[in-house]
Amino acid sequence: MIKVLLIEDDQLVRSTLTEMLIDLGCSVIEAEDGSRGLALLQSEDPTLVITDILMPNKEGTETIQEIRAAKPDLPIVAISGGGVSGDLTFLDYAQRLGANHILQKPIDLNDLEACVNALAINPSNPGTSMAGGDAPKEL
Amino acid sequence: MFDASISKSPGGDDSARLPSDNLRSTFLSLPSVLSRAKVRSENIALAEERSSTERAAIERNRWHCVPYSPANELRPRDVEAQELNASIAAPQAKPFNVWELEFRYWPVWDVGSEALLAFLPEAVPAITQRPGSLLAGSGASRAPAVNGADLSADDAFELDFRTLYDLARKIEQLASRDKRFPMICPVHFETMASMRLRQEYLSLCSHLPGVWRRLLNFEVVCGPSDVTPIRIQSIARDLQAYGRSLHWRAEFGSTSLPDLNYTGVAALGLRLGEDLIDEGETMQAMDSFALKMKQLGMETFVHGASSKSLATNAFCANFRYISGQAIHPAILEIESLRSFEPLQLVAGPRRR
Repeated sequence: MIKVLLIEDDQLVRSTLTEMLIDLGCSVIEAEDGSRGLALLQSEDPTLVITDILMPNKEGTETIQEIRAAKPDLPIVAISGGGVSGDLTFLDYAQRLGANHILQKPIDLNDLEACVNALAINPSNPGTSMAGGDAPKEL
Repeated sequence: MFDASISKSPGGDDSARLPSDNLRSTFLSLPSVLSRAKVRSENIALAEERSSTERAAIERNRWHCVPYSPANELRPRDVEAQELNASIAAPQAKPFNVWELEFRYWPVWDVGSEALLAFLPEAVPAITQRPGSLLAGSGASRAPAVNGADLSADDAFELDFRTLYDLARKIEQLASRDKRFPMICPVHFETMASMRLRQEYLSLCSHLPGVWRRLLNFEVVCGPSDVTPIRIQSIARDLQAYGRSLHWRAEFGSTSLPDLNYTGVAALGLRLGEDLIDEGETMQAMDSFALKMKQLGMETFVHGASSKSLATNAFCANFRYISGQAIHPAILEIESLRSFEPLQLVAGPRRR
């Protein structure tokens, strides 16, 4: 069974995504922010991390960098609605900083399933963007 | 608005037009400032004579609160004289020695131009290395700032005067190296609410040369949320004569915001204090503030973004100007303007 660590500060989004992931046959560990997520990363040893970007107490890109440093091979999916401005710049940044996939909110169940399956079956998958737009440029 | 295009005027050396005399002596030659400084030094002398227990009590009472009230705004001269006498007799009400402050500067990120484009001063108590010696040390960049909230009008004025003095000195130093950067000059609402103090402050501003005024962006701080648009307009009109623009710092977490339409205020913003409620609530408050300002078509700023979470949230909430530890640590010496892209917010300094 795929063990997903879901890091998301919005309680409603978190519970919806949890239901979606359980429907896909995953077990889910929930964390309400990046700090809590990093703590659970060590104790729960998940097979996949899904993290929001805009969060209190360690935002998503920072969390991704720390996960990447601690577990270089762990698949990471970054999700975001872009905040008030609708600016999705940070999803691109998340991918540049180590996320394997990015998903734009609201998340479609089919996209989530494809993403989870791709990463669970082949964790070395280089990752794709499901948020549209151009491929990220080299830093 | 800040303007990145401020530069040496073509064909001429602006620094040649800067005053060569010391601004401090210029300021201090003003009778009102001189008498104020005298009162201040007398108070310090009195305080020095007190026992350590009393001093501890004085320390505890330093930030006594005299909240703004419209009824206090225009006080008769005799009342002010009584208050002045009372303040001399009760030095424990005085919160700081105006000449024992030093200033650190927060680089302010202009998101639109992707540059650290202006500098915001913050007063910190000077670090005393040995008796009678004030030394600006590296500790000043981390020392707790002087809390400008809840000051009496006179103390707020003194802090504003000292800030303006330091800013002017900094501009003068930079100009001597042929550098000109926009500066944000905080001024307390209390200073501008009292006509007497406002006139004193404006008379200080009138000593600033025109070329400096093009660098100053005034930011009114500690204003009440129920201030009337007419009062804001009056303050804006007076300050705009001496600066590029006027910003207004709203009280964080306040449910009502001043109506700034048609008042001449260019931007409304917040300062996130050290005593924040949890970050989640702070981010929600920032979002709702930004949404409200977007509806009003106002530019917004936020100071004190101490974590990447807060800074990233400010960016995504469309705040135009952002400063704080997560953007750039406070500095004691201003050297240059720097570009700053959103990626640097999350990935650190740009690789060269």
